[in-house]
Formats: sequence, structure tokens, C-alpha cells
Amino acid sequence: MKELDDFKATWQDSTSQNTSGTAIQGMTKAGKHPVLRRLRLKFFIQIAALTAFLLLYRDAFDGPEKPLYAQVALIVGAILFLFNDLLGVLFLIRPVHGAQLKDQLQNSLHRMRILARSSAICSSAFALGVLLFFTSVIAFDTAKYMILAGMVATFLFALFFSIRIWQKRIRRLQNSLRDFD
Amino acid sequence: MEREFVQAIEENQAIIHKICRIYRDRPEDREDLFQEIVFQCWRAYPKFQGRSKFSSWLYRIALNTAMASYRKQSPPIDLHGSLPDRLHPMAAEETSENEERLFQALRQLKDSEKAIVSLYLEGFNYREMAEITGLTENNIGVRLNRIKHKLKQILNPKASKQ
Repeated sequence: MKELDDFKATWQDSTSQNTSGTAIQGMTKAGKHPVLRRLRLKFFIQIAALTAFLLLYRDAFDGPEKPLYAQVALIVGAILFLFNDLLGVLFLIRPVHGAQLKDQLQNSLHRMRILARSSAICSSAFALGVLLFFTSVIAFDTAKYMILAGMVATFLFALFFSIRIWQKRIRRLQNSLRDFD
Repeated sequence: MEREFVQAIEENQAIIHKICRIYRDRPEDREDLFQEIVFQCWRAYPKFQGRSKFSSWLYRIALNTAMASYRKQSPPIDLHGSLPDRLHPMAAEETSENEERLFQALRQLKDSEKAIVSLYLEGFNYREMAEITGLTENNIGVRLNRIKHKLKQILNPKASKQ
């Protein structure tokens, strides 16, 4: 492997940034993790929004007057929406197990598939819950049907793109894993 | 335990920086990946029992994190022609031309190829590479040969056509 050996010295002696021990120590904290920080903020915003919604539930949204199925759908949808974020945090915090790189990649792929399905199911459940809640007592006319169709189309569009992004990530990891078979 | 971990990472941080350089194009993405790798290593550290070398364990986690973590998609923007050298983002890293050529070539390999070649360049033998990756030693030899030819084509496209 003569030609590759020629690069060994360049690789091993490569200059790189020097990260201080203090900075490294900071990186062990979940609070400094860039993705966990964003998820934590997103989670708090969602909790605040849901809390505000519950406070306005009776007066502004006529909550108790809505059919039971619509109220249940909304609550279940909201819980699943929060559950999805918690799942993301859990998977980020728990280390990926595996004695070898091949096993770790397999486990990472398994987690990615669970997160992809959870994301699609939970966001669909939440959208359905919100839709059912706000449309359950509406007398629909043509204009309102058009608005409803527009909202459903927007949601399906967003869902389609979300699924595409997840599929791309999964395919990329699958291809890498295939190379380790 | 944390102090021991931080010291071990500090001593071996060049490994993580090199992996970040070949798996991510932009400096800010490399910083994010570096942080992600350190975090994942810290979460896994309590289970590290010292049965393998620290560098082998570190490579395994760093490579998995680099391959599995989310990477932002953006077109690579080369400002070489339009910015004065002192303002070019790469200038801050003070890399030699040979070194940058090598890393640019390595970035064009597939993720799995980057993993195998980085282990080889680090100085691991075939047996150690097999233990880290889960491939057989024979398989590693075959793949390294293919990677060698691919790098030759990337680094000397005219010579490799002859």
C-alpha cells in the first residue's frame, strides 16, 4: 500500500485547532450541546403555547362545547407532539451501543427509523387533533371547504418534505452500512 | 472520572479534528461535529473499560457520530478567487498546501471509505482495523486497494487516465 503510506506522515502530522481542556469539559454538558439546546428551547416554547391554550380553552375556544371526540383528539395529538421531542432528546443523550463500528451504525440506523416514524405519526396526530377541534362545530360552506382543503394541503406538503428529509438521511446511513457488510 | 476523560480527549483531540475535517466541509459544521463527538464519548465513557486502546474506542464512536449525525445541506462556496488570502475562511486554519490537498481528496470519498482510510493513515494495522470496524482483514485489504486507486484518480486525474 505504498502510495497510501506516503500520506501517513501528512495525516499524522496534520495541523489542527487546539481545543482547551476547559472547552472540552464544557462539551460534556447537555446544556452546551447545540442540538439539545435547540430541542430544549423548542420543548419549552411548546409547553408555554399548550399552557396558554389550556388557559384560553374555555373562554376563547369554547372548549367544553366541542364534541368529546374532538377534545380527546386534540389532547392526544398534543401529548404525542411533546412525546416526539422527548424521544429525540432521549436518543441524543443515550449512547449508541455496539462493540464495533458496524454494530453502532446498525443501532444508529434503527434509532433513525424509529424517530422518522415517530415524527410522521406524531405530527399527523397533532394536526388531525387541531383540525378536528376547530372544525367540529363549523357549518361548512364552499369557501370554508376551500380553506380547509388549503390547510390540509399545506400540512401534507410539509409532511411530504419532512418524510423526504428523513428518507434521505436513512438512505445515506443504509448505504454506509451496506459497505460494512 | 470527568477530569480523566477530559485529559484523554485533550491528548487525542487531533483524531477528532481530523475526522471532522474529512466528514464536514464548513468550519462551523466541524465545530458542531467536534462538540457532538465529545458529548457522545462522554456519555459512553462509563462503559469504557480499557479493554481496547483509547484511540480505538475514540475512533469507533467518532466515526459512528460523523456518519450518523445530521449534516446541514448547503452548496460548497469557494471564495478563493474572490477574497484576498488573508480573509479566506481556510486561511485561519494555517494548513500546508499538501495537507489541504490530501484532506480535500479524502472528503470526496464515500463515508465508509473515509472511515477505513482514516484508520489506516492513523497507523492501525489490519487486525486492529477489523476489530474496530467489524470487517474482515481480507475485506479491509481489498477496500484499501480500491481507495488507493480512487485517491490516485482524484489527486492526479491526468496521470491516472494514461
